[in-house]
Amino acid sequence: EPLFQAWSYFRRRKFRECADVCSQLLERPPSEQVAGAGPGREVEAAWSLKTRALTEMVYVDEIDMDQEGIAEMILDENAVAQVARPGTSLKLPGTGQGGGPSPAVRPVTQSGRPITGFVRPSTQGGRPSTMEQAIRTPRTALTARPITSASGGYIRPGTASMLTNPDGPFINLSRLNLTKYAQKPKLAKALFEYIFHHENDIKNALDLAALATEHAQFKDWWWKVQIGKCYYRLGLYREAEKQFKSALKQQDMVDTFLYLAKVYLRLDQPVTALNLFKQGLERFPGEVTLICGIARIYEEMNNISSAAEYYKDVLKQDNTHVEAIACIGSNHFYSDQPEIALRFYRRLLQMGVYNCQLFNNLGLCCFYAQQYDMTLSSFERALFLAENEEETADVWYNLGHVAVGIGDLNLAYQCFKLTLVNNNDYAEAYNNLAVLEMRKGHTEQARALLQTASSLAPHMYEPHFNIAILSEKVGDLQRSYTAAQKSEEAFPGHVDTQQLLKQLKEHFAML
Amino acid sequence: GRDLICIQSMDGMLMLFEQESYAFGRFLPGFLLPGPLAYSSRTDSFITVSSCQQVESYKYQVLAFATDADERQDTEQQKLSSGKRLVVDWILNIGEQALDICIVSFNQGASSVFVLGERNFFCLKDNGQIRFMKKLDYSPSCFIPYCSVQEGTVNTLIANHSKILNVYQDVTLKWATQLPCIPVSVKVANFQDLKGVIVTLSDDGHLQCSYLGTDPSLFQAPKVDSREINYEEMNAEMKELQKIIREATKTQDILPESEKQRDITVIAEVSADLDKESQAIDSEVKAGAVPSVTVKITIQSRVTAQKPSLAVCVQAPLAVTCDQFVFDDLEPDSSETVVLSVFLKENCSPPELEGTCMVSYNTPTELNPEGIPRVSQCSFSLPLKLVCFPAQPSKAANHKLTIDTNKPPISFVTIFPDFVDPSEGDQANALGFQFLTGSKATLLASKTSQRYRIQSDQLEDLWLVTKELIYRLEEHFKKQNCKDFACTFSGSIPLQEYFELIDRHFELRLNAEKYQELLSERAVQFRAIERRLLTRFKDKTPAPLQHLDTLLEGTFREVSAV
Repeated sequence: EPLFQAWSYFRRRKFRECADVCSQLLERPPSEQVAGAGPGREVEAAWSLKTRALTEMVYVDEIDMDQEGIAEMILDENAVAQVARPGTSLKLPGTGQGGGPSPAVRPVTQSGRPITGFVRPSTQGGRPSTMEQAIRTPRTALTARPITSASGGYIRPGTASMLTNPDGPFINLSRLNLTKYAQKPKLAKALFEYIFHHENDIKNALDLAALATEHAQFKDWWWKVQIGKCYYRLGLYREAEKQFKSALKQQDMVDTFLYLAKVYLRLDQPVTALNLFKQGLERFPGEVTLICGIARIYEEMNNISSAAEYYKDVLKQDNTHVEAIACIGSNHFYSDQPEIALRFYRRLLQMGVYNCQLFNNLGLCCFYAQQYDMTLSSFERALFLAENEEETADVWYNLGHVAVGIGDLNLAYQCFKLTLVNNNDYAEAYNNLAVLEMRKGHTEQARALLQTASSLAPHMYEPHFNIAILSEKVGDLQRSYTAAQKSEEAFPGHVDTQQLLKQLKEHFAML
Repeated sequence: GRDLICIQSMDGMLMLFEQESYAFGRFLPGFLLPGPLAYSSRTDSFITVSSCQQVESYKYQVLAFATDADERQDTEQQKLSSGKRLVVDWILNIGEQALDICIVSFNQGASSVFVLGERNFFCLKDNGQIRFMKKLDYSPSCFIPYCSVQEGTVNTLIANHSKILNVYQDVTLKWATQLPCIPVSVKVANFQDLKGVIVTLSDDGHLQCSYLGTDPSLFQAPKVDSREINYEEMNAEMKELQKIIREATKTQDILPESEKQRDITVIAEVSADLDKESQAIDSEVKAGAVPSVTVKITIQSRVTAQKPSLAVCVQAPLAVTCDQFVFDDLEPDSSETVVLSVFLKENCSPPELEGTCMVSYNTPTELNPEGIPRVSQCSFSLPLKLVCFPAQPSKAANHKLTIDTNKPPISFVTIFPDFVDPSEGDQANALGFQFLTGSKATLLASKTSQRYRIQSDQLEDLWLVTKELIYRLEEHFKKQNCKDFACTFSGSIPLQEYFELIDRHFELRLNAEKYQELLSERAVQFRAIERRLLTRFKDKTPAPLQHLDTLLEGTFREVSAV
């Protein structure tokens, strides 16, 4: 029985075999098909199974997909207030009510947010305020942002159909009679998922969903959620919000809560999202994804202590949650408790997370926890595991740090050089290399390196401050003053910068 | 005391057997693919997940007396006798396909329906309401709710496709354990003296009985190949490497290699005559025929060169017919030749009559099969005839430049053979140049003193002619083995005019900046209007545009105008 075989393949997640068997079934001439309960039923079944198999092959949970392009950010007409009150918006960095670490202790991303322990799609870039600034923001390999989200990460799923079927897509969407399928609820849902995930054709998916929800007399929450998803992709957040809310009225589902919260986050209303998550937690106590959502919001709002609390809650529910462990670990690391961070990272290692980043973190923790014997072997493994040049650069950068720590400046110099060989955009390495050059007395080289660093990463205060000091030493007070001002802009609370500025002002007053 | 068996077939028929005898069969409505099926004794009903991604519950009574939904051809009589169509007891839309259903009731009070979906795990009440659900961040393969330790909670085993078996108490993860394979089914069994054994059946038919151990299955990181360290050798190697590094750091800048070591040589030959048929394309010069000159570029390679590509560049307003060439990999001792033409494109005289061509290529080495990127280049100079042609000399001009030399004057016929008509004879001591752009320059040679005079109405036109003159004079005297030739300029440099030009240039720069600013301002305005319009159009209730469209159009026109 080929259909049963296909179904069994599907259950065992062997989707390619399943799709192949279904294709064979569908290619058989109609006369051979054994009439079951009705003619064509088996064909429909095989068709539906194949769509599901193809969808599962490329399925990515929509909740985790998030990429905001420049165009969306600029033409964002949903902004509620241009100037948000502190603590109610994600747009303004540094609005945390205390508890946030200073950039001197914990490095920040371009938008001025402390870096998190776990790389998520939306944690990287910030929101530039104008188109001009967005275009001028230096682009490095790690922060490059697509012009619109339609050209970003969605490309990959979109091309799946071409890869899997060299002789044309399985379903020709333009010839599909959506109305006909919308009236067959048993086929429509599989078809929708296929269009949405596999073909990535949001407009057709939306058409189908709209017809189907009408056919279901607006009583099927699932279709509402799907319409909401489509609206979200199309950037119609208010409409998406309506659909999700209406779906929630019919049936409480965890996914719906997550989608709605995502909409609120995109509308820059983190407080509403927080409330929603809490409401969801009342309905589904102990749901890990909801708690984790709260923690992420707190983290983005610079409220690290609350975030850590919620991450701990996550671990109480699910002590194998990688993201929570990593975030708590990095939090401990940056609050001067490398020993505790080390324990979290070792837990990750126990759980089978085996990659370059982890060993990189382990190495650093070992170093700061004064377990020097483990440090170098960790970095050795990290180098061994590095998959691309960016990762290798990270490891060499950290090794350079260790070398500075043990006073081997020659080694440090070589490490930073190697970092730059691997990743030419590594602003931190440029900065540190400049400091080393400064010590050697090569002022001009140091200046060139610092200028490179500051143009690569204008959000970092260190290169500006170093330029200021350097210029002040050689007597170029004017340049020193401008650099110090930039440094103050990047990190207003930096005491050394303030002192330098004060000193310079006195100088100018004397003149 | 009787056993009833229910069998679901691939075409959606439920067949019920009483002991050995067939009782009845029923087609489920809206059936497409078989979903999991379970019988709940408390409510006496069958619960399944249909292709519509819904949990459906059918009462046994209803199944037994209903007619098949599909059998429309039933006669009136039958309809009357056999009751109504198959009606579901309750439906719950879970929005995904389910893998398995289990019904358990550990304490007398309530029984629960557990549904394992593809992405979520549900616990339902008897009447089909959700008791709790959990979003799973992995793809599960099978599950079994097995017992309840604490009042009101149920423990569940869920296995997934990453070979991990998770133990949940309601929604809280209590234990996670590694399995050797992906199970397709999991059960908890009690044997005679073994209680609570986890039995898993794998894809390829392996049955495994196991206990939850307390030995953590720690992930063993594979060893990095650690060889025995020979310290002496290491030291020697280290020293060697240190030396290399020191050498490398000494020469900070990567100096270009000397010409001899070049693996690839580029030679550009400019043909002596202008093209018979002009190759100029899209020239903006208003003069009738724009001449062009052919440049032949030859690349000679001594080694294997990968991905060689040639770029030819001349300064605007000059242009070439083709500025990029890509070749196949070059074999050792082979060569490639390309031919292109240079012409004046824009309507102004060029600052220099030179061009460069560059070849970039990769030379593979043993260690680096990708190749080391390398570049070689050469420059070529273009004839003056490309931008001007001989004309009648004019006597009067605004700007004059006199150049002194230390040698007697040379007839223009010798040094400007391509501009002087030989029929005029040796006497010609004046030479006129007509630029393609329209302006004129005149070259005068003094008959008595060792002077040359260049004059023109425009200051900038003097340069090209002066340069050409000096170049040709130098060449001429080099041929005659005269080494102490020198040109001097004794008069006052026309700084005033020069400064005026600089001022004008600066002004233009300022203007360009101003326009750029204006453009960005307009662009901002344009985007703002676009945004307003977008909100208007998105509104369900169409509001009047309030002349936003006119504003948009106006701004667009302004942007285009700038």
